[in-house]
Amino acid sequence: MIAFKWLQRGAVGPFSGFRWPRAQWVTADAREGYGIHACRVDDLPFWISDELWRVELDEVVAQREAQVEARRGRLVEQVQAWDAAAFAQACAAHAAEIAGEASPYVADARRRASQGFAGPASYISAVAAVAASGDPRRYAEERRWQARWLARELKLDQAGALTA
Amino acid sequence: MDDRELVDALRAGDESAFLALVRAHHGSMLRVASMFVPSAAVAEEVVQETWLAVLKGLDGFEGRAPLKSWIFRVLANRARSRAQKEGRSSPFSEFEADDEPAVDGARFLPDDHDRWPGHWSAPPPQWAEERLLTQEMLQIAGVAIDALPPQQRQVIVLRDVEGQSSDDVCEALGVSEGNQRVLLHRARSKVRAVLERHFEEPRR
Amino acid sequence: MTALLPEELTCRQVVEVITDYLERRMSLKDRTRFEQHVVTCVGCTSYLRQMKQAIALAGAAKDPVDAKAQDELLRLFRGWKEKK
Repeated sequence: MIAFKWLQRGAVGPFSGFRWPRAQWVTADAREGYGIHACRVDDLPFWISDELWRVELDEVVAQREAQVEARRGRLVEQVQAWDAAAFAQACAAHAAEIAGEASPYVADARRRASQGFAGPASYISAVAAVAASGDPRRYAEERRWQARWLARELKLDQAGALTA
Repeated sequence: MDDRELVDALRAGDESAFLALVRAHHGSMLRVASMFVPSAAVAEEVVQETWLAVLKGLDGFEGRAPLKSWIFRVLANRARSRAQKEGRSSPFSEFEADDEPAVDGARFLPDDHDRWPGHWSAPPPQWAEERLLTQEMLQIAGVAIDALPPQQRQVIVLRDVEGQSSDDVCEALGVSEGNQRVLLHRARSKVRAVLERHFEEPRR
Repeated sequence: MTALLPEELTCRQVVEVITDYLERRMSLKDRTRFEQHVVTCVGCTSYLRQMKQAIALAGAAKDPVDAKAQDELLRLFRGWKEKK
């Protein structure tokens, strides 16, 4: 299965600290929940980090609400087009469209975007949508908007177009 | 070297294998023994006796448990029976009380904040890696650990300084995993807070 | 929790459960919730890193075994070897 993985600078797992080798299969811990985690497109906004990679997974053991888990995986190629600042600003701008520029949540999101914190900025943007509508379901909807933005801007459905 | 190879090497009289094992565990073993018996001299005796018992027991060691877990079990049994002879109770028989939060409550926004109740009012700063692994910081961490209440100190030393596993530490101290985790949590939180205060001081 | 999404952790809660997380004593659901919070929170990203750094620093503070103790134990080992 082809999926995506967010890593810290240097292809390092954000929580495991594991240094991913290039183009080499990695076999994970057999313990449930401690396999290799990866994102489908809709999962992407929830796990933002420094680098985005396309990965190949084998022995997928679970497809969960916000991620998939597999026993084996390997990095295929880095999505060079990933631009954290552009994404963060787009999320904040969309939040402003929904909640208005005067929304303090929008101000929070813009501040985090300008500081370079794309994960927090996109999260706050989604919360802004909930605040504007009073409806908690808007959170998931806003995250889906963010996922579609990523899929479109980064051309994620086109393998091989990523390194352009 | 895995346990199988290590046990074979020890049985064959390999001194460097033995010394490697000593360097890995002797410190932890002294720590554990010292908690049960009245003096450093008695603690050293108990640990020496343990090493001898381990060597004598090698032929019967089947490798069903990890070697180091077995060593700790032998030690804990010896330390406890010695303590009983000396009429001492376990230092972990009563749980230390400590209600201090991991982080001062004032660092978080109040529950009635309109947007972010319970969130950091200011994010803790990032510690520069180059300032971290220095002699100075090692000393400060050491002093912070020494200043901890005894049970918290014992747990963090065995777990984080000496690198022993949770199972082995719980077995050796005779505490539940849950209690051990609470002590570890309190100890780590305090040490982190001390390091943070130091990082915030302007450099001289 | 934010005022609007009650399922989520607050930072005040994160700093109290962080040891459960690092010790791998959380359910998968709680662990996902914890990691989700960290990804979206500047303060807790920093705090988690600080906690890992503090633990690493403690690990670097291990004292070497006393040379005299090593000698005594080596003698003990040689004595045992001979008697086998």
